[in-house]
Amino acid sequence: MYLRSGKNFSSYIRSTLIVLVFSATGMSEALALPSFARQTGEACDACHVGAYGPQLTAHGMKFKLGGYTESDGKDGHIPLAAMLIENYTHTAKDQDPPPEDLSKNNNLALQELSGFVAGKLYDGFGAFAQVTYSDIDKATALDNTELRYATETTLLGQEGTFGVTVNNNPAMQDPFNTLPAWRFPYTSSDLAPGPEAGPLLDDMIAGTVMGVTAYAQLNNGVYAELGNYSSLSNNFLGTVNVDPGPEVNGLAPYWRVAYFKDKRAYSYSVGVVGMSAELRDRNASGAGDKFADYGIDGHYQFLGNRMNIFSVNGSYLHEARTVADEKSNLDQLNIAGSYYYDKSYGGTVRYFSTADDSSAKLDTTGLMLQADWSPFGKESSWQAPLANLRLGLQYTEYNKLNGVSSNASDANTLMAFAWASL
Amino acid sequence: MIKPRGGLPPLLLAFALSSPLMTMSAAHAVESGDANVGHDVFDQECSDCHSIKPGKNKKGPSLFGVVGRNSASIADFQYSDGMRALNTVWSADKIDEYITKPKGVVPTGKMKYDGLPDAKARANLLAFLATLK
Ligand code: HEC
Repeated sequence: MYLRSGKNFSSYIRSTLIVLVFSATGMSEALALPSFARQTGEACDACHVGAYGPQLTAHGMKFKLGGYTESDGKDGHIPLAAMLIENYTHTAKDQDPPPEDLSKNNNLALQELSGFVAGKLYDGFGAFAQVTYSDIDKATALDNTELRYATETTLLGQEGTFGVTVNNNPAMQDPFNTLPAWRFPYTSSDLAPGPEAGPLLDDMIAGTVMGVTAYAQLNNGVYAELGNYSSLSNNFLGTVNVDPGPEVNGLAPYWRVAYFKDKRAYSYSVGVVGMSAELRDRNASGAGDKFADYGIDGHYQFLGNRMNIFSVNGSYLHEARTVADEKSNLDQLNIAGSYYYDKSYGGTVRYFSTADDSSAKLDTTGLMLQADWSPFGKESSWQAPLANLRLGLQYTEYNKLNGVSSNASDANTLMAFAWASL
Repeated sequence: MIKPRGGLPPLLLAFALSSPLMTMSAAHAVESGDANVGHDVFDQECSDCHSIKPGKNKKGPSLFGVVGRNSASIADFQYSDGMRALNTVWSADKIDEYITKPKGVVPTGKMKYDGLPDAKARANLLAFLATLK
């Protein structure tokens, strides 16, 4: 989610209406992204760990790589869905100043209300496009969005899935839940303090760029992807209400190589990723600040008969940066382990650290714990006219936050959330 | 509801007998299996793409009543041309052969499944499939 200080052009009422229109177009079943489930005939649990998005099972990873197009073969699926996240945030110490228009502590907020166009558009073509209203920012904006084309064929003697994606957030197209765009935590409070430093790949240019990458997932397990991102125009970003942020000077190359195996009882991937960009103020000319990211990542998932699902997903990203002529390094480590029982009850532990050797020294380390419950989204809850739902509690503990250890624990955050898909 | 067509009663009987409720197992075509264990095998290997509910198609057709059913006989499922041309009856033996190596039976089929090499797991799975009727 990268709504920034909004333009206030959109009211709560208007967004609610949009979502109601989406819902009215036939959200009768109880599912994570209901449009995907209606299209495939599968319940949320086939593609999502814990029967709720976005953490993918191997089956879901393949669905994504296949361009969101696989279906039960029937026509007339409408690729629309909706989602909302309401949360309650408590920090160990009151925030001074408080978040805009809110209390110093214990805030209840409608953090996201989203409409999606998600699913098959045409043979081989699929979309995942999200528009999100945040009651915190009081604004509606274009969120993670991608269009894909994928086909199964043999190229240069290699059988596999070959595709192209056009998207607005580097690595949102990645299926393994290891890179920033889609790794744990899948939701966290917008109303609590948090790390201020992160690499290019972690949200720095999310939503302000457009990238085109081509990829191949070979049947022998090799995944390879290559492409470029460039800045979206101020005009376009104004139209979709996204704060433009800095501009990419020229092109920002993105590459990815991984090895992915789905053994049905378990799956795993190991990979490397890289991206570099030169960023400067939108109206500036000449050289800007330079960022070059290299990362390794991997996941292991035990699925068995789906009653007990264990996953470990992690990544280590290294960034070499030159900001205002100062050269520095940023290293970010994230590792999350989760266990889900009966596709409903889950617990996740995440360790995170950022090491920043610039003069700002925005080091952060901490732990995050989450427990959640997703009562629906299974084949047996198929006919339920209810929306899919995840209820969760998330606790974040900081040992160091943005370079400060002494009172880092003041920012420790307890968040309760209700996440519904209609 | 899809009723098994083309009869193979002795086989069905063999599977019924090999279910865990009837421990005295009789003659059987494939190695006898444990349907309870087979349910787990199904959940692990097949459930992403197949439902066991009658009339419920996912990426693959419903496997309700599949033992003894004619191949490619679910009316509202879009089979591959290869599967349409197969023209067989899904006896336990035939399913066993198919799930050992799907491309071996239907080379141009669209079941994206590498196969289940473990004979014991297949026997348990087949015992479970035989209970779906
Ligand atoms: C990745 C998805 C997928 C998995 C996993 C899968 N199947 Fe299939 N299955 C299909 C598809 C798709 C078809 C249709 C094939 C065609 O038309 O060529 C199919 C067809 C079949 C058929 C023929 C049905 C008919 O009506 O003719 C049988 C039998 C079958 N599968 C059994 C199994 C079993 C048993 C397993 C688990 C060991 C399994 N499948 C795993 C997707 C799958």
